[in-house]
Amino acid sequence: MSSKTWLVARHEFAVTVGRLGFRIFAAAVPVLALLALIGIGVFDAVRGGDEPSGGAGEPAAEVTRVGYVDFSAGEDGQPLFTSFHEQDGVVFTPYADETAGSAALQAEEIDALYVFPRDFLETGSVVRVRMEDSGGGAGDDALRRFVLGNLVAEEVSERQLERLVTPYTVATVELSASGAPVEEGDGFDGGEFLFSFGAGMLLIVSVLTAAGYLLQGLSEEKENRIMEVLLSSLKPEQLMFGKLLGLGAAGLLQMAVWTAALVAFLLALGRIVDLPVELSAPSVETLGVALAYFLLGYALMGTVQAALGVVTTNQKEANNIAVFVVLPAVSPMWFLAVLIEHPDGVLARALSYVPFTAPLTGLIRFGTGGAGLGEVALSLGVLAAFTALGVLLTARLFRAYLLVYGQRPGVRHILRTLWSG
Amino acid sequence: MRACLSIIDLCTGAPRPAFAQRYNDGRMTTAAATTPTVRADGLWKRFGGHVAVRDVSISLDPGEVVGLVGPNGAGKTTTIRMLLDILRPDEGSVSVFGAPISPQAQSRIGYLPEERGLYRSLRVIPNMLYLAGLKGMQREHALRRAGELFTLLGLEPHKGKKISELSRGLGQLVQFAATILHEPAFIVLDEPFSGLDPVNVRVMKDAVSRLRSEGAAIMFSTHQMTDVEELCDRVIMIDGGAVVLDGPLADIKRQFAGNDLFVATDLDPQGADGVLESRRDGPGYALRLVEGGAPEDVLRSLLERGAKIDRFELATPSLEEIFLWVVGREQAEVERDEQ
Repeated sequence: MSSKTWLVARHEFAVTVGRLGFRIFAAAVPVLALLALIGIGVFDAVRGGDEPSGGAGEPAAEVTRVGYVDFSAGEDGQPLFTSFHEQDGVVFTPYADETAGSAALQAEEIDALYVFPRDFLETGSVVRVRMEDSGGGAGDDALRRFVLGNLVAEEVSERQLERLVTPYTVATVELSASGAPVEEGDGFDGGEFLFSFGAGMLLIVSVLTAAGYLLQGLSEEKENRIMEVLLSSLKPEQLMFGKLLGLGAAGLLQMAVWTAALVAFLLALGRIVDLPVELSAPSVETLGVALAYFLLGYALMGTVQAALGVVTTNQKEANNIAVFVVLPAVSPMWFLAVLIEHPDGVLARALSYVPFTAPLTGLIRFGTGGAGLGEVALSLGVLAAFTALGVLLTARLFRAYLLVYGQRPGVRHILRTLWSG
Repeated sequence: MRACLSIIDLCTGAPRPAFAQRYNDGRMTTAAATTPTVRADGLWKRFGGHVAVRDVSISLDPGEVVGLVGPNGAGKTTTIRMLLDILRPDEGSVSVFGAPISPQAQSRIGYLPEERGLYRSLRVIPNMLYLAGLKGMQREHALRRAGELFTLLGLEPHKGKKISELSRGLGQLVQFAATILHEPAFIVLDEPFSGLDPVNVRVMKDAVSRLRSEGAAIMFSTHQMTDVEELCDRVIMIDGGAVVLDGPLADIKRQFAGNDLFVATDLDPQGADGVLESRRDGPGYALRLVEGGAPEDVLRSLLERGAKIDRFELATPSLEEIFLWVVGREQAEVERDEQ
């Protein structure tokens, strides 16, 4: 690597990092993450403060109060709902009639009022009454326990009652090809997935941003005519590699800031609220895969954007054409549901080997356990080979078109240049 | 195929051995004494079916200022780009400082292109430091030298500004400073004075003269013939991609001087030996000599007639007149070939 290439790289890095737009964009994710955490924390604290205290020094228990009016009658003509008044944090309070219940509701003594009609046993219909837009009421489980408890309490044990409420939960054990159970962590890991998905999104944004800066810089240099001065001091290839390196480093810095913010956000979020998945710091493998996909993905996108910057006459024209490169790169998002549901399916595998879709697809698949390190290595290999070809061809375009101002070469001419060098 | 014309048949329609001998001898003597700063032999460049440069051979010696002139589209910029290794010639070779152009040689070249540009969002000093760095200059050295140039070119008050904040003329001075910041030994200036006010033109011309005195070889491409006459030792005229004129300015002017004289005298020269026509021209008379008439015959005849003579000189055409004459003749040749 020549010193001039390094000099160009340093210049591009300094100019890019010095841009106000870059700084704002790089800081946006950490700032938004911090604001989100503050917002969630404040919301959590406010919600906790609203709840009744369970006693001095004790955390307040979350209690929902609902009322009910029982017009029903069992086989023996007696009211059905006489016990099981406390279920899953819901307190069921009986009222003599709807008028009394409604009064309690309006007085905010209860969140909702359930009216069990006379023919409840025949129809199963219950009327829930609540204040407009309040959304109040007992949860499904609590209501089910309350009804079932009163209906069958005398005929089943408490454990049977529990199974009536929640008949079963399914735990899946997967076996590897050798017949041994797959240990937790080898398959889907919520934390890894969240990180990989988030990092994949940031990777695409970061890659496209850095490549966009490259396109912008090249177009500016052509429009400003400084290109001719540069080429009197260095070779087109040195300029191209220097730009790729410098802007890649700027993109990597942005990616590092965003990744650190993402990890910190997820870890902090896990401490503040209960998440459906267990969060932990991403593994070294995941970080390595993310880094590799970033580097190669950026090199490919940057190279293609550089080629566009060279063969077009101005930045606007280059941006218009760049859409056709950007769309394939983000296209895995269109198939996100399929990729998550079937990370080892045909579509997911195919997209892993298409250079423009490989970075995002590969990272998501690795995060969901749909692809092992071997498959990721193969995907990266294909991406690397394609990128190397792109660099070679773009260097030819650089030599041919860097000093062509104001006119776009024809497609046939470009193809001839790509072919013959 | 269009003929590649030389100065000799352009001037007279037939070779003039004496001029050719003098001109060639001079070049050979100079070449033998020093290694040319830049030397191009038989350069050809084609773009598709268009021949932009055909068989161009030129050379510059240290301390020499050469004017590269020619009409628009003549091939000047393509020639310059080949000299600077920005473009590779299809045929022919270029050597700079006695060897094929190399990164080391590039670091001793300064280039101010016609289409100028700097990084508009950057300030003056970072712009200059970056370009100096690409020429291999150390930062401290570049800063010191930049300070000298700011003083020399009157840019001191503007060094902290962004390029976008400068006027066109000031931006041009900054780019000129960036061009010579690394003390190049070979400098190419393409239309350096366009857009500059007279004060800044003078500042830049003084800087060019200083660079010449320090031994830099300067190639100076322009359409302003008066600038060429003021600054250049030698002129290379390109038209249709080929060199149509190459020689010391004084020799070329002398060569294109016809049978015309200017004489400042108190006596009307009409009727003197060898004088075909005389007309009043300012403080003297413009004379047209008869075919084969010699200036010395006119001088002798006037003295014999008792005339008091203050000035007696060959009326040389301006470079602009020569340019128009040569280019017009070239154009006529092309049109005749096309017919």
